[in-house]
Amino acid sequence: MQKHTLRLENKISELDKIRDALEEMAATWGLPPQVSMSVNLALEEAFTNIVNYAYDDDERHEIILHFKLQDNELHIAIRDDGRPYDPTVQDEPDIALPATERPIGGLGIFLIKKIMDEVKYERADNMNQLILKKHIVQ
Amino acid sequence: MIRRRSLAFRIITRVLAITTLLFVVTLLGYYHYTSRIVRESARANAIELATNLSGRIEQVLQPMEKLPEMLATTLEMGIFDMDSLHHILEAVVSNNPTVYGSAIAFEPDHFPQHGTHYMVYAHREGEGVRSMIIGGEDYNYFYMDWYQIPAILQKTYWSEPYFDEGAGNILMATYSVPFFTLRDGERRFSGIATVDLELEWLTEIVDEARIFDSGYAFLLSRNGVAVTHPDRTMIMNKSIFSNAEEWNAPVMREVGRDQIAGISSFREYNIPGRPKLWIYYRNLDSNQWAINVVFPDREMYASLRQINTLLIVFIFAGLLLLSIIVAGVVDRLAAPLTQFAGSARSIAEGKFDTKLPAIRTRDEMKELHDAFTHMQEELAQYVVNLKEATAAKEKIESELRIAREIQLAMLPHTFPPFPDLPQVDLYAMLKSAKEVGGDLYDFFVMDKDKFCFAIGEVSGKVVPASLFMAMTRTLLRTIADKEKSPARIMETLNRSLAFNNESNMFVTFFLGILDLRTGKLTYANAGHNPPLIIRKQNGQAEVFEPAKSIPLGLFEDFVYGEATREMQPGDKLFAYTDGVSEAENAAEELFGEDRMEEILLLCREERPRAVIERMERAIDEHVKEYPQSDDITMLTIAFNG
Amino acid sequence: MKHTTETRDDHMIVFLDGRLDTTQADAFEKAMTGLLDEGHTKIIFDCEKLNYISSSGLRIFLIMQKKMMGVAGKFTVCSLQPAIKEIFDMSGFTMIFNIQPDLEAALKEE
Repeated sequence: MQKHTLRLENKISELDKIRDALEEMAATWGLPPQVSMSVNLALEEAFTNIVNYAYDDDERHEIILHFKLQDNELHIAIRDDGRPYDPTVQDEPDIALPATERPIGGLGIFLIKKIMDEVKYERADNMNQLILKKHIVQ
Repeated sequence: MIRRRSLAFRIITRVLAITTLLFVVTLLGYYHYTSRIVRESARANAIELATNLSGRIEQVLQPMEKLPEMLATTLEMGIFDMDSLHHILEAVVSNNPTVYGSAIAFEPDHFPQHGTHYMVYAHREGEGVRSMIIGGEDYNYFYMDWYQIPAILQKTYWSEPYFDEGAGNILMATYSVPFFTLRDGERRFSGIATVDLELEWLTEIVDEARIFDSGYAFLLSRNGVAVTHPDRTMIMNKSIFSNAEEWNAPVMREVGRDQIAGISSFREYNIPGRPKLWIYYRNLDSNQWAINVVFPDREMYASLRQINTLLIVFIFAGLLLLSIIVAGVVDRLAAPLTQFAGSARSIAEGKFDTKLPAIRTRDEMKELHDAFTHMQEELAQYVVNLKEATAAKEKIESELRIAREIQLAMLPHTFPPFPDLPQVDLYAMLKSAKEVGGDLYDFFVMDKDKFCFAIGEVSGKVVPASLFMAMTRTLLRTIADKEKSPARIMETLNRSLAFNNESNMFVTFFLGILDLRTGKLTYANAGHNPPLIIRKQNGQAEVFEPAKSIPLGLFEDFVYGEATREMQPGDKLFAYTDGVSEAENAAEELFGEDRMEEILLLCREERPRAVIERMERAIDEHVKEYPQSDDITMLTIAFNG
Repeated sequence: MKHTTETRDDHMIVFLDGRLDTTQADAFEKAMTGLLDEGHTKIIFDCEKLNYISSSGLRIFLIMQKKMMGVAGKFTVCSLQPAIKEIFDMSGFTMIFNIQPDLEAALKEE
């Protein structure tokens, strides 16, 4: 079993750290390039969502990513202390509205769901926790 | 080559029989085992082919499954709003050559401003793609299968394949997927997205698949109707179930049921009146269509049969070679036997110095050679001995013959004996069984009116008997010179014979003296067969009474009696020995006294010589070729008065 | 992420280079809107050197597709790297884009 933890600030520029960490894990854990790329995409969507929508203030917050590889399954938990938000349940999209007036983000969670094999949201200890799992086919 | 059938042929046939049996058993086992392997490998091939096909089909089908959700998402995220749905559908149709049309149909009153029905449909038209908004009373899609079934089941749904007339009779199937949107925080069924899939590409992919020489694959829909088939007339024709009925092939029905149940299997596929087939089938992952891979039994086993044919050819060639080698070996081993056979024949011809085949081996052949050598030596020695023995025997036999001649010469054998004695006519015969016999007869004139005759038989038929006989005859003549009565002659003869008779030989003897003037016959009988008189007067045979006295030579002092009988002119007396009455034929039947008497009566008018010759013929006819065992002696005297 | 453009015959070819992520998406979207305003009817995105794409990037692809269809134009995507092709496949977007293996095939496509 392999483990890795990443502690990030709530800044979009932290995406680079996610990318670097994934590249390193891909090399040391032996993940296929396609997997690291798509997982990077899923994490970027999830992270961006949190940075953009989770906080009501402009304070500095910590977002923690736990990585675990066990039995060919990559397990990622993303924790933040923002306001309760379940990204797996979307707001009603009003498709009658003109496109420009509608919020962006649906595509992100759609991609996360398509890329990962399992997407689960939990709220505990005043923290949001998004759990992502992907089966690694070598 | 197989000259000596009995040896080389037998060895070869036995060796061949056993090796052939072994080969047959081995071949059968081998065939059983390898045919299982071949079947296993055919099964693996069929599975691989079907899996490969399935993979290629899924590659086309699976993206279709993602379409509705992707459509829903793009709708939800607002890139494509309700009014530009046709753009996305047109893109789907134009960018996917296998998609003939695509539709999004919403639930009733999803967009109240557009009325109850709202369905966007894009499809190919000529080279381009056309889209439209349809739905209403004229096209009430809510009740159509492609909408209603997935809507009720809340599950994706593949329609049965169909020919779309509007699209130019292209074989198509529609894939329908329900999609959902969130309203008031609730995930709610919102409509059905469809793609109409052309199936021509399926035909191409599936028809390309080949197994063995003529094995092929075809795709059956959920209802068992052919979606693809190398025989185009089968496509969208009767279902496997109706074909099962029509062709009386229950296996097809079972296969159809398996496919509905999603079971995959490899099995025999026998359709009456067609070559035996094998089939493997499995369902596609996306829908319940089943890939069927079919190939002839004959082709599956073709390679095996080829190998087996080759094997059999090799085995037969091997057996032939074996036969030749065995024949050669046996030939070489048995060659001396032929030479031995030749030698044996040569030895049999008397060439005891025949050269035997040279044997250099130290085996059974050498033993045979030694045995032959030994036999040669023994035979040579034996023949020498035999020659000596034969010479000795011949010498004895010739001496005996001479003795017999001398013996017989002692008996009177000139007939008629007394040409100057008209009162009697007489004939006698002695036919001896061996070189030296014991019978005797004699006759002579005693005085001028007395005619004496005798007949006798010495016991035993050996050389001493003949001596005894000769002695009897000589004594008789000597005694008859002095004694004139038959009893006296008998007694004197008896005394002489019994004296010093250590070998206890004896002689039966009949002696008669006929008075030629009166015809009175005085006689004595010492244990001899009684003679007969054939009376001229009544033509009857008169048998003398049986002898009351014992044969001569037994007791020195025995007193012999005599009797008389009158003979009338024309009467004939017939005296004989056992050899006549007991002449035996092959069936051990005796000639018999009755027969003898019969013959005598038949020729009662004949002269003595004719009577005896007639009797002799009758005996010959009775005895035929059977060897004579006893001396035959007959004496007939006719009294002429 | 940078991009260059090139006109070949009547095609406008856009070469994408680097990472098209959230931070880069806005600038690229503006550039593309400018391109559309010039009235091109045949646009090709050559993605040979595009090594990352986020949902913001995908959104730009979708908008390009929709707008080009709105003007009866043609939008083609070519030379996708395997990892990015997989994201297209996984999301189902492969079905709505005209995707070609290389630029040559994209230019031939009518």
